Amino acid sequence: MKVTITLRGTLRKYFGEDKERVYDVPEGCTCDEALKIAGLDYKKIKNFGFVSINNKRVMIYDKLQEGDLLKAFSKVSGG
Amino acid sequence: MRKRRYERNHTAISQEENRILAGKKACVAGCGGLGGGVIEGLVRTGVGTVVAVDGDVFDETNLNRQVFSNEENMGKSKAEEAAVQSRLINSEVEVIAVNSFIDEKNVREIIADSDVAVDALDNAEARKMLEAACEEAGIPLVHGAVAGWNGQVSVIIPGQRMIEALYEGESVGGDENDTGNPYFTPAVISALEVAEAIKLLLGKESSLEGKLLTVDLMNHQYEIIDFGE
Repeated sequence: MKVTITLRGTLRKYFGEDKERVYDVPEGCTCDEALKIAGLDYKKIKNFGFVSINNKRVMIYDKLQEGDLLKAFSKVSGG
Repeated sequence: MRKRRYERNHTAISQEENRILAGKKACVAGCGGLGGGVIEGLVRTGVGTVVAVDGDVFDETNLNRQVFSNEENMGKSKAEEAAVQSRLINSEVEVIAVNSFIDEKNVREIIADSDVAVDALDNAEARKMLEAACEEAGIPLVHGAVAGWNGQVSVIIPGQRMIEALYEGESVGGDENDTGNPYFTPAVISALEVAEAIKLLLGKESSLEGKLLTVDLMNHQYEIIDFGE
């Protein structure tokens, strides 16, 4: 199934100039697994914040569905 | 009393609403980049009592963005300077300086009797304490944070625990450690926090309750992410 991934904050650097990328991922693929396919291991990114599917915040191990828009945000905590 | 002080608030904020604001109390946690802008905004708008909380002092690195910092007050308390300068802006507002960092022991007393709390802090640990204390006291919380060209704002109604969701795990800081904090991002985010705080104080509905507005000033992307169940 196809999902679109887009990155925010300092995570953008992982996609270079691309605003978003479309990936073919297995059925039942989680956000974590999809990000790994896209080259991001959230556990190794110190400023990794949270993920959303279709603009609703979800857990990293939640499953994606065909056509979903997965966004990954970096952590913002300055004042 | 200056009769025309709030003339340009009207009718975005009506005269009656300005009278309501004069009887309200807001607690601003943090008097740095975000907090300075928030305090100035609340004071100019006419919120009756503003509690300005920060245990830090101004240093040279604050001059690029923190509105109450200047070349003459390096080394002085951020909270006390915010209060002193606020009195020059609007003597009808009482600004109470609390020259302390938020911690488990003082947070309940600091926010007591406030009608709204505003998060202008710079670390997850203090934010979690503030959110928990606000929940316990039934006080709505306006969250804001900045890093480089990016920022975020949220309105947290007691029970929503958005800070816990945003800053899961250990407090290791965020993008700001790599990106720095230029002037314009806290200026924008603090103004948004003021707008949300004023809405809460006036009992107006906010479209950011339980949601996070993310702001990217480099690419002009403004997105609202739903954090509800």
